Amino acid sequence: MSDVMLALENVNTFYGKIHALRDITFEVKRGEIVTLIGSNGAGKSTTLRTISSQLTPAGGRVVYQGGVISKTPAHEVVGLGIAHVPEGRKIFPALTVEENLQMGAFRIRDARRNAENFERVYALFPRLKERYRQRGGTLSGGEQQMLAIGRALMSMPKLLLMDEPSMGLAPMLVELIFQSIVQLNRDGITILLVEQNAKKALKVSHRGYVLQTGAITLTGTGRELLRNDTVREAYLG
Amino acid sequence: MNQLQVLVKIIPQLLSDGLALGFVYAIVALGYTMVYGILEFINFAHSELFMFGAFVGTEVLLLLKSAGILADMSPTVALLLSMLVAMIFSGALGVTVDRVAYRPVRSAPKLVPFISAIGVSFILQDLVRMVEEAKNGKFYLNAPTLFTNRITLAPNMVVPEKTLYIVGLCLLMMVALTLFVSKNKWGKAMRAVAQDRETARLMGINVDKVIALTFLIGAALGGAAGTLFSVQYGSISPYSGFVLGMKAFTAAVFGGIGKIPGAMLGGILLGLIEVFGASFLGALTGGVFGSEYKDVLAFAILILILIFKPSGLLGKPVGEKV
Ligand SMILES: Nc1ncnc2c1ncn2[C@@H]1O[C@H](COP(=O)(O)OP(=O)(O)OP(=O)(O)O)[C@@H](O)[C@H]1O
Ligand SMILES: [Mg+2]
Repeated sequence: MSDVMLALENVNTFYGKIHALRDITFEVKRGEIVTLIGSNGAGKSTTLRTISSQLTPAGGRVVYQGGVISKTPAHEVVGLGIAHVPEGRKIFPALTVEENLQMGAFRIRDARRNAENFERVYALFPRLKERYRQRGGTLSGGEQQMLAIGRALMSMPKLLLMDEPSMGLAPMLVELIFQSIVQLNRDGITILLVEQNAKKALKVSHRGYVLQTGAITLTGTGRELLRNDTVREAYLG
Repeated sequence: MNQLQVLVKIIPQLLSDGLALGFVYAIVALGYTMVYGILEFINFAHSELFMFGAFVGTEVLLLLKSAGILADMSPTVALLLSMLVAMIFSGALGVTVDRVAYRPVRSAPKLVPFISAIGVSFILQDLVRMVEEAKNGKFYLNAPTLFTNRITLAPNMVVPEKTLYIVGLCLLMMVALTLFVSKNKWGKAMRAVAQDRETARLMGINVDKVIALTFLIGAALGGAAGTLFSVQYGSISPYSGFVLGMKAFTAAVFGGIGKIPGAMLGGILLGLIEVFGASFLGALTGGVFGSEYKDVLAFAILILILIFKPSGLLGKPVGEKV
């Protein structure tokens, strides 16, 4: 198998008549952290939602591990090893922390493996273990973000899509979230990251892409993009 | 002894009648509330799933009777058997109705599936009527008597055995459902889908399957309630579902639509209010309103409570997000 894990080829996605993604082409290699940066409304979330099949592209294809997944239903994409931490966390508010994590593991039938995954998530975010019986909706913003990440990990993903995981968090928590991203990547998970906090994201990323009104306008390694004048002006301000 | 004192003496009797009716309302209300919780859709045809179950259950009992088995078999077994068959048939019909009439219009404006449901409701009424008329020459059915004993619970409280069975079986279904949604993986998935369908999909939950499961459970409960209703009141017609369904739906709203414990509480209370209202109305109004105004009283009370608590007894205050 090639070392390209995910490739988008000329992907076009619409919301009704709104053409949100225009001929998007990019790839993520196995073991990488890749960041998508772009201003509000550029199409970052739409890109992630197209990959996880919440949206079906009108043209082009999404290729994952050599297979086309653009038309695979979202609930089956998870089983292929793609987990999506959605923008705004989207915790199930009336389910407990533990139940939220169980939902993440919905397709894992092996009980022993499930128990191990619980241990792993609780080790990564001990705060979740302390609050396992608390309802998701009563957690603080930071705790909800930990839960959203933990929940995605419960499906044992090979590729993790993360949509603005540091949004609205205090600096210390932002730090913690970025540390956990690096840690997960070291443990072998490939990560596609969307961040407003472009500086921090590019620092931990192998490569990045700049998205502007639905099209990719620039690409490079994390370091290159950090030094790029356009990027500095528009996103690192 | 004045009229009121007479009434006080029959309170235990009213209590048992009210509970039997209330538990049936509650079980039917669950079907409305579960579907609403997931789809924000009022399954108007749920009352016909109840009615269909009542016919199936009653036909099973009549079949046992005509085969000469009913007299020799334990009435408990006969009741359970007829209920089980009714649950299977109603459950299957509920899933089919969803698949054929609701799913194709799921993303259409909300009135469209609602109209579809009203259509299904009429179709089921007339289908059952047609089949029964062809089969029996009349469109209603009388249920064979299963239980004749009366049981003394307390000095002043003698209740028919069947009432105990009805209340007991309804309680059992409520406990089972509560355990299912709180402990079972698919039950939790149902709650997850009700809270956030899109995110549930991201978890790998097949949302269409969860919706089908919700219809299955709701309709099966409706079918069970139908059988119990027929056994309790002795007869059933294709139109028996309509009024009962309206009341059960009201009970669901009264308890807090979308909330499982709300439907249970709302149904039981509505049954009690109705039965007590029927007896006390005349005495309380000096004979101006008789028991035929029981529904007016029951609904007046419900409206009053909903004015002060529009989200229902166990619902979240309006405007608050879950
Ligand atoms: N559900 C929707 N219906 C219609 N248009 C939408 C919908 N979601 C997004 N859009 C539009 O698609 C475009 C891309 O939106 P998207 O959410 O992908 O942006 P984004 O880069 O994630 O922005 P942000 O940084 O604000 O999260 C925007 O113009 C947006 O208005
Ligand atoms: Mg976004």
